Amino acid sequence: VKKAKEIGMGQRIWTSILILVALLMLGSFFALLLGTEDANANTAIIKISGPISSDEADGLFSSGTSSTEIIRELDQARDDGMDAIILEINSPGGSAVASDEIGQKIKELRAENITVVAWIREVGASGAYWIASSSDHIVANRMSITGSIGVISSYPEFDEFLQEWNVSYNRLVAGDRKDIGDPFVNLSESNRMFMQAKLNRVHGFFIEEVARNRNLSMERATALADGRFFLGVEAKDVGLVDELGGKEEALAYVGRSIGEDVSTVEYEPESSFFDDLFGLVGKQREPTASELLQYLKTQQSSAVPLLR
Amino acid sequence: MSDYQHLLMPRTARIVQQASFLRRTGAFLLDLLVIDFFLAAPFASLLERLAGRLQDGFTISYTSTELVAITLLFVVMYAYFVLFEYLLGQTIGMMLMATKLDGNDTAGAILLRNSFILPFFPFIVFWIIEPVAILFWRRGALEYLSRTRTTHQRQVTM
Repeated sequence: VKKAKEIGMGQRIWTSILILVALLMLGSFFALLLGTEDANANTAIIKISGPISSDEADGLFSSGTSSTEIIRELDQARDDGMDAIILEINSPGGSAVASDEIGQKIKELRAENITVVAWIREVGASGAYWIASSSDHIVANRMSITGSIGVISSYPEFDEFLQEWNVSYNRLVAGDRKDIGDPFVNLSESNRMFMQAKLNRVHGFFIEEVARNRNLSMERATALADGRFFLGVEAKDVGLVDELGGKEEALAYVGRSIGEDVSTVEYEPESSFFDDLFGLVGKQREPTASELLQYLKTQQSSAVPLLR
Repeated sequence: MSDYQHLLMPRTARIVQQASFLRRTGAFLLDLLVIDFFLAAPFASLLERLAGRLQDGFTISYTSTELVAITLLFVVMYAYFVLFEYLLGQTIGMMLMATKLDGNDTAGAILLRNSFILPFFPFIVFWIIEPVAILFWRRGALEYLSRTRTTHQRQVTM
């Protein structure tokens, strides 16, 4: 290799031009290779996996899906001019509000002539089924778990445990029903009925939504909405899914619906500079016991009605 | 010219010193301009699309294909710095700011000293370390590791 001082100005200029041209050709090749695929893409694939919540998933336990993120991806697919969206679902459900938010957004996109197909893989139950039912077409594996049209609210109760260990719990409450869901307070019969009425109401919304989305009578939908889950093949028989299969079947439906060859592009959760910077380190770390407890506390012990 | 007259003439000396932070920043910005004008041109539509999605200065969303495209753009940038320094001892920005590579000029050393361009961990950490090191010690951490320097040569008249 010649040192800079040993190369004349003419040779230096020609070498620079040659390097730039070579790199320009390399960049053009890359862009052509990727840009063509991206430009031709007419179908977005959006993943809904894990528990569904309305908040953005946070750091360590980011395996779930937030409605904010899914709605952002759905909007992005519309802005990018996609003709169809395939929802790749592998979720046991989650927040009723989050499921409804995603369901309403799907309907909004369908009204703009964007075909939405739900592809249920392992699980598409409860809140995830609510979302799936909002789509034009549901494809599910014959052994997948779906349905589970019901509402649950559960939390552990420690008041007898505290009494047994002679621990007093100072409780200052203004409003009789203010501490519903407090794990250190015994749930009174009155509060239990109050809570049950709320769950029944959310359940009613769920049934109405499924009946409307799947063109079922309220009686039929109610009969299917006792909280039981269905295997994919059973769900097909009772009209909760349209087709048995997987990605191929979902793509075939999209092809028939939009009337052109299907080219897909996978949408992913947003990432930031700091996510990229520290993401790798974070993913390699095992959760600590306190983080695990915090996660269980927020995810499992909630008086908030959940669809799962 | 007699020997006596020669002694009266002003003498010039060449001083080679490590390039200053400002000079190096200027060279880097000029290189980015060259990259922006020429090498990023094929990725212009992608960059415009991503800029449209920029939400708060840091957060940006992208598809998997776009992520690959962004990575390849950085690979092209990396190749720019490596090829110019390996073949000419300086990039276009360095030529214009009169700085050049000094020391170990093997391919391995040049690949290492420019690895801060790569947009993934652990190289991305050098986006912070390198400017700070150059600001305070005029030599980046990767330059220490690769046993290279970036120098500026100036003539002084005595």
